[in-house]
Amino acid sequence: MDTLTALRTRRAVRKYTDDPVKPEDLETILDCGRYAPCGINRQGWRFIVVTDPAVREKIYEANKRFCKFILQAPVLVVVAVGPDSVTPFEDSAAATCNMLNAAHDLGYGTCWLSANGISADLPAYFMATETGKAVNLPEDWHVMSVFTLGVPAETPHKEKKPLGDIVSYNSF
Amino acid sequence: MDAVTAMTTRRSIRKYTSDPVKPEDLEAILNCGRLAPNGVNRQAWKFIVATDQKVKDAMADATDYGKFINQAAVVVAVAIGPEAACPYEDAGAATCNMLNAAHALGYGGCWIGANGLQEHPTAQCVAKVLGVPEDWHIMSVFSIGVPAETVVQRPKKTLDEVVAYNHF
Repeated sequence: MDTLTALRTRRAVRKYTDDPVKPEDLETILDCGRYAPCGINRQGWRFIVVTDPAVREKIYEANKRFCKFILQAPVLVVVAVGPDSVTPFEDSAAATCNMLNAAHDLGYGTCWLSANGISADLPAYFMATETGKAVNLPEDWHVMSVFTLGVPAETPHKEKKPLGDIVSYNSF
Repeated sequence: MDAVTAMTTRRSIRKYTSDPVKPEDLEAILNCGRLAPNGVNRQAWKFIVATDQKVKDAMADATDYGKFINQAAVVVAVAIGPEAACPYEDAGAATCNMLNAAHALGYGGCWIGANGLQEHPTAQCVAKVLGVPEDWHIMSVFSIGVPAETVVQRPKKTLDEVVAYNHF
């Protein structure tokens, strides 16, 4: 898919078919995460692909208030950042965003689940720490996002603000 | 350019020609930011586009590692407002989308870390330059211009080094 088309048409998908994610496609998706921008090229990240139902169950338990559809997705990807990362928030968001776009480009659907293992004051902290336990994350690493991945069984539409509402020139 | 090629060939560009960013291309880039993933679809963001040289100079001056950004045709600051459910993620996603879109259109840029919620001095300084209200935060700054350099890919870890299955 043309880049701009991919970026423009990606939406959060919460319903999946029973079809698997092809291994070569998963590799391409992860590779796009690997090439995401990151501070000082530290690449202090780890992408943990969850396909084991027992692990997925634990992650679901941590987040079922908001995301019951976790159990329907064939794959979850947990994005964690470690102590080498100087820009953990930016790195994890960039890697996640790249992977969501790559998945969409290849015909898959994803939904980004908020998980912020650094900001203890935010609701997403609990999801992050519980997910970290589920994947045996070392203490000095933090889960910073989780996303579901599968073949979409829906084509969501979302209302988006017009460009004029969110762009300004030379001042706020 | 297809999306995967764009994402795997994008590099940080720090040298630019004096050519402008075409208005229709800038709009396309900003549009990709507008449609980036964001928490609860709050879209509590503002993309402040600096085209005025004095503003770009002030923004470059505010950075530690981005003194070159005023040489680019355009500098964009992403501000996030109090309604954002996932401010860090929203800003990162919008920025990443716009960098990828810019690259796909033949432009290049560099992301300068400026995390206002983490009280990064660059973010606070840029917020002052741009007149950002107190309850909004600058969360990233990046340049867009026509590249005047071809950057060799910096060493990247292999996929095996960054991917694990089911546990760390």
